[in-house]
Amino acid sequence: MSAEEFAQRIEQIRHKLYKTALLYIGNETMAADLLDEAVYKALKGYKKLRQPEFFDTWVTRILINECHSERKRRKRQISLDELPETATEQFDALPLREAVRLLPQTLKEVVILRYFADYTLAETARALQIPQGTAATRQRKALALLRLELEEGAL
Amino acid sequence: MNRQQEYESLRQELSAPAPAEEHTLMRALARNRRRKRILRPAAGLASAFACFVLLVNFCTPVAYACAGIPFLRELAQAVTFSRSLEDAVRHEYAQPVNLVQTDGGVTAKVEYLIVDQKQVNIFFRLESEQYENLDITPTVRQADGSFAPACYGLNHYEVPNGTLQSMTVDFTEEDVPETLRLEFEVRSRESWVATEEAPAGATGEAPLLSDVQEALPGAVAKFDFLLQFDPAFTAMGEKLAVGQTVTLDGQKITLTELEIYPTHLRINVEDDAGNTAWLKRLDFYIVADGKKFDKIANGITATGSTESPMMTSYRADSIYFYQADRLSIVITGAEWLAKDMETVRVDLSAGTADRMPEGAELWKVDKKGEGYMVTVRAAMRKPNAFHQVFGSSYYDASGKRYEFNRWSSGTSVEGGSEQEGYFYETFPLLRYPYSEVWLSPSYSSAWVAPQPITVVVK
Repeated sequence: MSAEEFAQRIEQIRHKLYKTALLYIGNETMAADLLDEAVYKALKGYKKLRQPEFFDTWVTRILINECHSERKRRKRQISLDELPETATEQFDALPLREAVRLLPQTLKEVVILRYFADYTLAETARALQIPQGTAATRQRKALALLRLELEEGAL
Repeated sequence: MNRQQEYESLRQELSAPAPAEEHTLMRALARNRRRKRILRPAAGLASAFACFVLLVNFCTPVAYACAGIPFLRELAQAVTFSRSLEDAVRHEYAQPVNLVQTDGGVTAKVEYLIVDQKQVNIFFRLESEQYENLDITPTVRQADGSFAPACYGLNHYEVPNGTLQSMTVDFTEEDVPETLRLEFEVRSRESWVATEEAPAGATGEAPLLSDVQEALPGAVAKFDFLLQFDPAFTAMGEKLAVGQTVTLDGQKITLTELEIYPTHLRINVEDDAGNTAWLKRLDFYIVADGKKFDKIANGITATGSTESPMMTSYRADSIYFYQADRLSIVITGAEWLAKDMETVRVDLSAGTADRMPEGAELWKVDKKGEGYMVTVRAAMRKPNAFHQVFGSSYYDASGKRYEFNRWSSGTSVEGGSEQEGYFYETFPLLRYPYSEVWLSPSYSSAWVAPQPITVVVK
């Protein structure tokens, strides 16, 4: 991949990445920082990418890893920013954006990539490095908690 | 609103790119460049000048350039807006190029470059028998067409055809590359005015309230030049360590280093974690062997980083062509943004503000359609000089950021009268549904040093 191709691809998916970080972390400034960090790491490593056709999901994985790191840093400072799967009444009472942010991590990632960043199930599974079946299961659970009925063609 | 509707609404809300993500790639490139850079050892002014003199004697193209007195005379007339560029021309520090293209009845000639490690000044002219007045929209890219990490802009406006004019391309972090691509879109000024007189979708409201984008008239000509820079020019530049801390208005500021280029000089500063305000402007001048060099008044005057509101680098006329044995920085004042005043709350219903920048007052708030028009009044710092009181970002109670991209400044407002020594700044909050807003002051206070503070560099 050339430098120009890298720049073009990043510009094409930049907003998708930003949305992902924003829904994950819930803060615009922090989402911008996470995006900056992910793009910087992608810049340092894109020449070693063996399958450039998977560039988008590769950068997304870098971003998700940055979100995980940020979440771990925050855990040390404040109480866990997450509700358990059993807290259905609490999820119901929250605005959707907040409910997404407070989903358990494994469910949150799938629903953000599928229904806000518009990845297919296969792309989501690849970005998160999980089997498609696992991604499908987590998707179902997340949508149930959020009381959303969205099909593959909902996007 | 049910969950499904919430979902659709949230997707819609997230559909527009946020200002914060705009320069992500540029920041990554700059950061990567800093990681890779090997700092060149600082070369003495004398040795750099000697290198240039050798080139004049042994390198035919440069020798030819310096022998061309008429070109230097014309170039000197085109650089009167910048003392640094005047000095550069006087010392024959200019690279002539001869790039000519013709398109659509317009001939564009790129004739000279004044270039150093951090900045490119491009001198060009447009000629046409078909069009009387031409406007130009430049774009600068890397040679391969990709984004160039630089700011650029024209130095002259409404220039008569055939007159030498210029633009400046400034690389804040990166170095000037070996080549750049320069694109011009040229429009006839007459067709531009005709378009403004009959904009599509005009509402009759003040232009600030209209979110109808004016359609640009079509370009009458387009040009694409590849600029190649003589490496002897782009390699030049010097760093001088300063490493001195001063206390300005109770705030500690460290002057870390000077960067000296033929086209400009930079003073780089850092602040102290204990400071209660961000430095937004530094008033100063340089003294080199008794000669005074002022801070830059036109073009880029200072730069900052995305990490804080502080401006971390300040520009002045260059001392590059003066072999100074004694060098001092004299600080006469500063402007601050208090750290607890990065935003101020305004009650749009009551027309009141919790705090305002020094010398400014909230003049009025008008409800306009689904939003508001906010007008502030501020004291001029110099006769007929306006400055920006508020930045373009504003926030609602949840912290969501909005931007306005138009505002107006003037000595009077609709329904009001002029007050000597004051100006008005008006900006819209389009489709803003709340009764409170948090605006972003550009500054909170200014300070004048009771006595100038001198920092001796050498």
